[in-house]
Amino acid sequence: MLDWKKVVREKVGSLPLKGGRHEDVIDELAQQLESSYEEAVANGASESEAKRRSLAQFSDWEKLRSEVFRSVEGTPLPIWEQNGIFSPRRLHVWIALAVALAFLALPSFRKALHILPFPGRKDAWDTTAFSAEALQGVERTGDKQKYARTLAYVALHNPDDHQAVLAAEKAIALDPQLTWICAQVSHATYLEPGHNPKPWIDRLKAWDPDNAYVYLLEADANVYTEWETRWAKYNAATGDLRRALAAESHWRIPMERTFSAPHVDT
Amino acid sequence: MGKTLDRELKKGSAELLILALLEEKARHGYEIGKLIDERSEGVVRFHVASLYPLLYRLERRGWVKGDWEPAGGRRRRFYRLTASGRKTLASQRARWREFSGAMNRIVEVRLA
Repeated sequence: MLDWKKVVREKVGSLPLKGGRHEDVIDELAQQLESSYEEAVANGASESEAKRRSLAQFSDWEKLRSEVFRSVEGTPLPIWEQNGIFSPRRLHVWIALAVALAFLALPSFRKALHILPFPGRKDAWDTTAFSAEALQGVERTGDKQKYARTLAYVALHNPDDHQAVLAAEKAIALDPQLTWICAQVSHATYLEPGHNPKPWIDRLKAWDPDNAYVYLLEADANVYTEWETRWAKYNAATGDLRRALAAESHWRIPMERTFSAPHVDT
Repeated sequence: MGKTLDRELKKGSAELLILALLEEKARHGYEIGKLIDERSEGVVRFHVASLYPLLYRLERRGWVKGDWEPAGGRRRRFYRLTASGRKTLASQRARWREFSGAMNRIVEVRLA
């Protein structure tokens, strides 16, 4: 003889109903199951089949718990009383929460979160995605660990050109293979008073003399400072600017080298 | 809009079915489920998992009252209509007649 109350009690679990209604609900649902079971047996079903059919009436016990509570009390079942997979009653939810909090307590994890591209935020690789404070923190870590790539990252993403130049110096000193970042830094120094892009371009030329891009940078740097005063008066649409630049050896010679260089690596 | 109307119709119809069945006499949940199935000749299927929460909701609203009573050698919870439930039944029945009448007038129109 099946103990249907026991079956229902196990399925429903605790349900914080006021005024002893919990036992009433258990009794009533058990009677529904028992009556269905007896009817199925009377109609010729085996006991196991009758039990299966009877239990099939309540396939989602968790939903039933919630609906019974809402119907009796007039309010939703509190989340801490729910038994769903994300319910706070589940041990694994607390374990996951503890692990998440442990990660958040790690400074390096919080730092890593800064570079994640969250919705509504600019692309993480955009320089504006990082605060100056965050970049300083990254740079301090690079200094401490003597990690050239970290410093190169700061050099390439720091909107403060002066800070970018300093970080680039440190990165290249630690790892000359990172000399390619000079290409970015040489552009940064255009706007930095007192800084000259030419030493950075010379370093690039010494490091990768066969790269056309180096000479393109040189040609650009040679005429950039004179742009407003000398070149702006020419009309690019009519070819005046092209002819004027071709007559300027500081631009033409590096451009010739650009086109004769064996490879282009930007 | 369509979904809301459908949900409201189903919800209202379910309440009306139960209140109507309890008008004749007090009944327990198992009997109500069986009666809906039998009287509609299997056309209206009522999930048992929805029946009990609905009975508890009607009880909370004061439209029905449940009491444990002996029946067939066991205790059953019998539900009976309250005075408030009778008023609600009358109102819901009138609305149902109005609605089904309107539907019939549209659906049963024959071209002369």
